[in-house]
Amino acid sequence: MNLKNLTYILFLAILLFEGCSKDLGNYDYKDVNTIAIAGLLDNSHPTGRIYEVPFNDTVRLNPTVSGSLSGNDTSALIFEWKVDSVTVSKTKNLFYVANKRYGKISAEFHVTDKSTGTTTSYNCFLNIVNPYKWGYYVLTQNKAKDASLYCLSSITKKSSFDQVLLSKLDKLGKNPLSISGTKKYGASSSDFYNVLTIGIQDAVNPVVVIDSREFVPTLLYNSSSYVGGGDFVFRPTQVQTDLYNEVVYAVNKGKFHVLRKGTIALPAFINDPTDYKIAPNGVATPLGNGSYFMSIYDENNKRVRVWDNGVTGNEYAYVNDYKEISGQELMNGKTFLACSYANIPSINHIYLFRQDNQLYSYRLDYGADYKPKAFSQLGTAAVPTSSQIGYVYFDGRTSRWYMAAGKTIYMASYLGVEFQKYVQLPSDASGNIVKFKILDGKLMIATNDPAADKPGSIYIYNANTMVLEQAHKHVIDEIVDLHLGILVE
Amino acid sequence: MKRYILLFCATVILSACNKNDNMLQFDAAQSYIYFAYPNANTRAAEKYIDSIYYGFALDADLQRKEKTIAVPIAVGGESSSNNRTYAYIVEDSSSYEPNTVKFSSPVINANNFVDTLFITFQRSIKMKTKPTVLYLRLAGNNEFVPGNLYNQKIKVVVDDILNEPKWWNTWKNYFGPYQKEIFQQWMQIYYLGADPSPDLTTAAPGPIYYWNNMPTSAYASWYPVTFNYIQVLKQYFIDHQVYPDGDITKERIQLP
Repeated sequence: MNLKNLTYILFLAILLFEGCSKDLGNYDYKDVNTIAIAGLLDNSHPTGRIYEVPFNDTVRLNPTVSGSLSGNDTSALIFEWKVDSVTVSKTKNLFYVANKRYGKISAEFHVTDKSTGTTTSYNCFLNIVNPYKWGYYVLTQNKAKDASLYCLSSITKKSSFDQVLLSKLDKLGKNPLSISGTKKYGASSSDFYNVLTIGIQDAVNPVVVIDSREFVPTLLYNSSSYVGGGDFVFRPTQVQTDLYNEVVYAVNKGKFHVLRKGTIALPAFINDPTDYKIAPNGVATPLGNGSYFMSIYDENNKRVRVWDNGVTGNEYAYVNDYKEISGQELMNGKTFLACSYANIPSINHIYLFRQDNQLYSYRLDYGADYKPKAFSQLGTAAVPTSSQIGYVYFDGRTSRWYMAAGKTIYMASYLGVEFQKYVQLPSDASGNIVKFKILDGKLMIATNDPAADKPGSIYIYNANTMVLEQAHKHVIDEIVDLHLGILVE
Repeated sequence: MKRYILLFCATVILSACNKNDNMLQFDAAQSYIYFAYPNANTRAAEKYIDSIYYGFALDADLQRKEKTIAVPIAVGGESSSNNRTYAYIVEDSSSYEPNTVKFSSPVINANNFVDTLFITFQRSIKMKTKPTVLYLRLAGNNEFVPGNLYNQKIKVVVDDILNEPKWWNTWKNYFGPYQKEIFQQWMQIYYLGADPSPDLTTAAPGPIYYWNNMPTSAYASWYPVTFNYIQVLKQYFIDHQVYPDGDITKERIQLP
């Protein structure tokens, strides 16, 4: 080994031996004041740190700031709030008027410790939204039958029904029919907006679909939306949206139409030799499977009609009209009340009829080949009240029947029709129940008192505890329909 | 050994000095001319297309008697303050009736880099069975020489035949086997403007889908409005008794 190589080895050995020196642990540690920010939305995911703020409302955030050494003494701290990258406050608390723009804007809170120069930050979002993006919606008509839309925002502090005007639409029209809706979700379960569908019988646009984010109409349906041309006049008598799909079902001149993407399809069974006519409340509310299966009650021929599209990809184009289903005769002579698609256990339709003082519930079962098999009677029971029966519907989500009569709502399991008292309005409530809906843990009930100047009243219950939370008496015109599209915190 | 390696390298390097006889040259003193019919497909490598098709049977105006096709002629090189004439040849392989086709004067107007050759076709009975086909090739003259290698020649096809469109196969399950009567009716029903749907992928505002720009896949959930109109088409053939070529001995046309 020559001298040169020895030199290299020696040099490397010196470097290695240095690593063997003993760690004496004689460092000079010093505790640093660690800043903690609390009292604000705390979530590891950004979607959990979003403050929903109605446009023009004021945001007040009062965080708690403490130091590990300084405690609550904030004299040595510098605060800064930035909203949308602009410094809006140099104090600990944020007071911000959300009147700049809509949408999710970032908010940053920086706390700088003058003694160490270290900065601790907190980030969140302010989602500046239309106050009516989430709320309790009510469709009304005045004495002249002019339609109006009201909303009780579920995000503003103000607790009152405001009339909501739609840009681009001068007036909604006359003879309102219904309001229904679905939710469009974004990144999380709380990130959604409502897609509302309003049906008005006599209007320039009898069906209007609204995006609740900015409350603008996104789809307008009128006579010219009909794909079949000719002298078609769109003057619907029933309008309802599918609970899960962007599809609207309308009844026009008794015939069933599907409305999608701004067009009105040909009526189902346009050449029906028996000239079917859908009864009021006679469309079996589809639970997402309306593209394949549909059932209606035909008041012209006094029978249930069952349709399907052959279970093909050609959605909503019903081609099979099943006439010879066994058990159809069970319903003969009875008065139709309501029907719905059901999932008990998989594919079914369910119907409620009345004869004299007796209620009858029927179910249509399907075979393994997805063809309707037979009607069967699920149950029968006496009508639970002597009062006139009002709104009746089957809630597909919970598989229960609901029925309003006077100031009381009755409920029954799908298995039978032994209606039990579900809720009764306070004794001082005026007017009878016209509509009610249960959604998002709330029960919203509308009553009309024809004698009052403002006939419409709204009662909101917690649907889990059945505690009356809000009562808005005589606040709006005559109520036609209502819809819940609220954000549940 | 080193000597051989050097010799090999020198051979390789010197071979690069070979003259490229095929190299295209652009003579700045010369003016070139070429067909410049724009390619609708902006993603394609070729900016200009080499063939044009027009069908009287596909025209929204069913009564149209003649059609003028404007073919842009572009100049490479400098413009001129004088009108310049160019030359073209209608190749022998063309198939047309001379009395049904008219050409405009082959002139590049002063100071223009692009001018137009107008070709007017008269609708004729013969076009219903046999397409009129023109092969035009630009020729050199005193003013121009043919330039742009791929666009010195252009094919123009005009007919009055309702050919099966390319999209038919995609939609066969709903339209059935190709029948020109179905296609003609579809053109009347699903015209540009009937379907307000935006583009499915880009969300570009509609109307964009119509009989000559059908959605690329036949899914009802993606293109519900198209399917709405197919129902209208189907209903038309239920309400109207239509036979292929009006021949009642044949099976009546109906959609699946």
